[in-house]
Amino acid sequence: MYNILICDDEKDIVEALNIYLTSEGYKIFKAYNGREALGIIEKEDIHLVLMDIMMPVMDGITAMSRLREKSNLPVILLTAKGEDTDKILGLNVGADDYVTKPFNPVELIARVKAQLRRYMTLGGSNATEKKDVYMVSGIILDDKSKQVVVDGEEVSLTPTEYYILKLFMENPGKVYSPKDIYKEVWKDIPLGSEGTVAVHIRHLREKIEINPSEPRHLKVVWGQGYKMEE
Amino acid sequence: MKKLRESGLLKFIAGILLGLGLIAGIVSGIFAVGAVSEDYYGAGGKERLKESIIEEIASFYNSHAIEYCAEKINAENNDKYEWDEKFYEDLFSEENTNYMFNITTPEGEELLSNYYVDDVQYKGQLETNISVERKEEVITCQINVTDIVRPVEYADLPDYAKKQYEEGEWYYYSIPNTVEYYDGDMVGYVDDSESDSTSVAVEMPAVTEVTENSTEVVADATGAVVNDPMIPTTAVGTTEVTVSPTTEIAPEEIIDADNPLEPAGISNGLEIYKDSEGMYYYVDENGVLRNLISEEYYTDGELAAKEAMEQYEAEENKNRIICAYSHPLNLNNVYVYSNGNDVYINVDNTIDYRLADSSKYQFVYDSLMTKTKDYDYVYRANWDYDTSTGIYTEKYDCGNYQDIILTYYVKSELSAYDHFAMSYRLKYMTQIYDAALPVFVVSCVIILITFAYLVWAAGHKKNVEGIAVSGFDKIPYDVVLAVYGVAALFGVYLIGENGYSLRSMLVLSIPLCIVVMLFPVFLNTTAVRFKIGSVLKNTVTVKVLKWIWKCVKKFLGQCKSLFGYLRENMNIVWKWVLGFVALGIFEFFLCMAFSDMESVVMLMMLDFLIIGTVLVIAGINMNKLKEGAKKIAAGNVGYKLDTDHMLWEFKKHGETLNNINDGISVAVNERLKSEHMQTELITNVTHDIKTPLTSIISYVDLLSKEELNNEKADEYVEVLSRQSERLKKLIEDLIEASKATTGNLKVEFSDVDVKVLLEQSLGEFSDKLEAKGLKPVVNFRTDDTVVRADGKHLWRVFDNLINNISKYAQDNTRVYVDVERVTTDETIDGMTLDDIVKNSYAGNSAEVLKVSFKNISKEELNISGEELMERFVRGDKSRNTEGNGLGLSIAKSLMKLQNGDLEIVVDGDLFKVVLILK
Repeated sequence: MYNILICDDEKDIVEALNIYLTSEGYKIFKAYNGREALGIIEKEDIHLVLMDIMMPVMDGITAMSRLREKSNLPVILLTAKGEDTDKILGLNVGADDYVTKPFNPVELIARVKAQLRRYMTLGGSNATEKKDVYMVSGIILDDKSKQVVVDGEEVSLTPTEYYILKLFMENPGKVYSPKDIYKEVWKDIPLGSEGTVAVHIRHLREKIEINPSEPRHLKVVWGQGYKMEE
Repeated sequence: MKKLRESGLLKFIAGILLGLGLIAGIVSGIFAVGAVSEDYYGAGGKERLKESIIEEIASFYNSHAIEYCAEKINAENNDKYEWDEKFYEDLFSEENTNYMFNITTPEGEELLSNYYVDDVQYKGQLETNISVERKEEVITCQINVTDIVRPVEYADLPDYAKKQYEEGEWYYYSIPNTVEYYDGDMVGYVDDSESDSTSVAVEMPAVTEVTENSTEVVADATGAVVNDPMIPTTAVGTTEVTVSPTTEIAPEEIIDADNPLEPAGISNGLEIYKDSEGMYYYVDENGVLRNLISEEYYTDGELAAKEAMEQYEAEENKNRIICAYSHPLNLNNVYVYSNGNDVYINVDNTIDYRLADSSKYQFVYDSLMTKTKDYDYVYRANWDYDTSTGIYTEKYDCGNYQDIILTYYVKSELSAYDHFAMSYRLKYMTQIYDAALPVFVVSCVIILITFAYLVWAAGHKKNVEGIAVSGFDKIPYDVVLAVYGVAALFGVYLIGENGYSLRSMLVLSIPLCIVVMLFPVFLNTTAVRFKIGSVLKNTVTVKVLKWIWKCVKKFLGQCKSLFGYLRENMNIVWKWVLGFVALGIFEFFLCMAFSDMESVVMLMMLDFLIIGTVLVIAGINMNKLKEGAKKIAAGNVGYKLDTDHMLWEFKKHGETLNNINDGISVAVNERLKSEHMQTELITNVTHDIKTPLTSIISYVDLLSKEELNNEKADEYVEVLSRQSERLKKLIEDLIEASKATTGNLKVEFSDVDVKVLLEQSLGEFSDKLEAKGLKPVVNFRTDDTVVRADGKHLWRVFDNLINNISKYAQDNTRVYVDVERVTTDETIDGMTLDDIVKNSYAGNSAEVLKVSFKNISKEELNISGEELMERFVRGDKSRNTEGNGLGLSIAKSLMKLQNGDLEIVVDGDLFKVVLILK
């Protein structure tokens, strides 16, 4: 039983979110601006905050930066602008994730779940020290057991997908070209057959990303290759 | 006091007193200053004045008459009259002398009469008897001269001469810096002006000078001349002046009881006698007693020197120095001297000639001496040195004196400032000098008092308040000053030029006196002017200067405005032409002024320097303009040319460029602003649309999950869901299209491998394509697939294109993707490159990467590529499929942002998209 605070000045949206999340079994608190949200967080035991950016009285960015002074509970931003700069700003001031309006309810719920799992189950990050275990932003790859857990949920990968992911996990932030990946994973010389790499990665992304078109972990560097977000 | 100040009578009297005081003061002042400068008031002043009077009178007799006689004798001796008329005309003209004379024999036979005797009124006459003996023989000696040498140095003098010179035993004559001695037989010079250069002379035959003494001027104790020879006591009286050499004394007269002669030694074989008055005499071979020398001028000391000389000669006869002599009638000084070995001769201190044979000269000289013993009078008439033969010739005229009577006629007006006039005037000097000082003091007192009073009282008048200004005071001061000054100068000039006689002086001084008497009037007006402060203001000079200054100022102002006008409005071509013409004219005149080659070359160099400097400056400025213009052309809108250090037209041009740039800058900013605002508007509007849309989508979704139990309702909800999704997509595309077309997207260029990108893109779409049975066929015709682009944007283009293919391509067909390198000047499949691409290559042939996508359209395409590109226009037949047609438009905009291009070719059902990448 988790408590989720929904904060948006649009009451209909708050209500819609309320319906979705209640049906998932969460307890919902509602706020209509940043100040109200901070007030509720102060009083109640909130586990996750869904917050709109553009609100009267106090906007989402300000409220979140205030919140971050005291607490690290997960915050998902709801943004209507969809501008890259807004997203980056939100993430920089401490948002854990964001959902652009108009959102897909399924995606939203998936993100809420993912954030809660990460926050509640992994919160202490106790698995990082283990040998042969790679952990990058919510993805845990255990090389011994060949297990991959994304945001607390185990995913099943094909061997190729697994080795590709492992390659990325070993060097997060490094850009691998399809050729490099082919060499490393297939252990073969790429002779025009590296085109398959893209397909594999696409499939891998579908498994580890909530929205494969907008990957948060395994990103495409267009015209160069792929990289794991640090 | 007021009365005193306003009294006209008092002023008049004071004025008169001031005028008189000034005249008296000036005259007495001049004399007082003269007296003070002569130390007249000091001890023995009066005696000195008396002496100077006597000297003046003596020199009067000494001057012209003697010369005249000599000339006459010379002419007679040569049997021809070489009468320089011009010379004598000048000599005895009215301007130069106050007297005329004629010469007669004692018998009254006229030898020479003066020209002007008849023309001039004479005051009286003076007579002088001179004895001139007629010439009997001319002795000529010729001596060979070998070479020319420098004068004998003091060091070269024989010891006795040095000794005597140093001991100062010789008689010092009055010629400055020159030591002259005379010992009866010899006249010699030791030139003292440069102590190391000395010429010494020794001997000359005994010559009796033509002298005249007995000018009996007697002055009394006060200095006044009692017996003045110049003023005859009777109108026709004659004063006889006796010239001493003519006085022959019979031997028996020597034993004159009144004037006994005493032997004074033997000199040169002659017995010397001295009388009670200190005069020396000797008896010549004929037994005639002769006056030895003008005894007035010689004393015992000189005689002793003479004797010492004789003694020396007797001892050192062999190695004697031959004398140098200066003849009193012939102005030539001839020195003949020896240093013991050679004999030299020098005439008039010119060059020294060495004689070839000194013994010959000795011989000639000795014989000459012997011969001339017979004559009373010898003098050397001519000397000549012929440089071609080296022969030096001396011609001696020998003769005896003859008595003549010289009669002076003194003019009644002493018009010339000569010795005569001088002595005449000096006569009155003692009285004048005595009176000068007291008169001067009294005059000064009067001048001071009256001057002060007149200045104080000037401009005050009865019944007139303040300063009374008369009409005279209104005449410009410099005019008054000039008139008064000219009058004063004229007065002074009259006196200075003509006033040598008292009478003429008095008459001629009247104008100056009037001027001086008018001084109080001048003083009055000056004082009045000072009091009203119009001294400088009321002058023609100041007015004229003011007017000139005004004109100059006006002219300068006009010049300035003309230059300003020309500067602003003149064509640069004319400016340069005018500048060069001006330089040319200036240099033409310079060339005329310095016509020599060096100056012209220098001028040319200067020209090069000037023109070179101008050209270099122009070049620098031009370069700045060029660089600036380049930057502006390259789109650096904010760039400002630094015109501070530019010159002339370049500066203006630079400023114009800056203005253009400012204009562009403003326009660009405006456009950017408006585009930015447009984007902002769309973003904001779409944001506002998004919020209700979120609700709609959410609630439609919720609705779809409700159990409606109504088929139609389910169907409607499905439509709502689909259309709201489409609306969402449309809004997102709209934002993107707006940003892409207005260039409001950030483009981050990096090396993008198109091959990799294509693989990635096809990988992304592999499922979709497979689902439709579409098979991509990728052909790389080049290995160099790396371009400068923004990966994200390029992905969006590929995304759009492949997405379109997956939607609109005929199922189960092949999709061809070709990658190749082409050059920009090739036409690509019959289509031309977009202007932007062309411009970015600026006509240069450059390689670009061409990527083409080819597929077969599912539907019939009845529309051109351009139409497809139009925003919101889609192929009519594909209207019913999803998509809003913005995709291609966005893709093209994105390509342009990356300096690339996108073209669409529709050929039947073949749909081809070509991408051009740099």
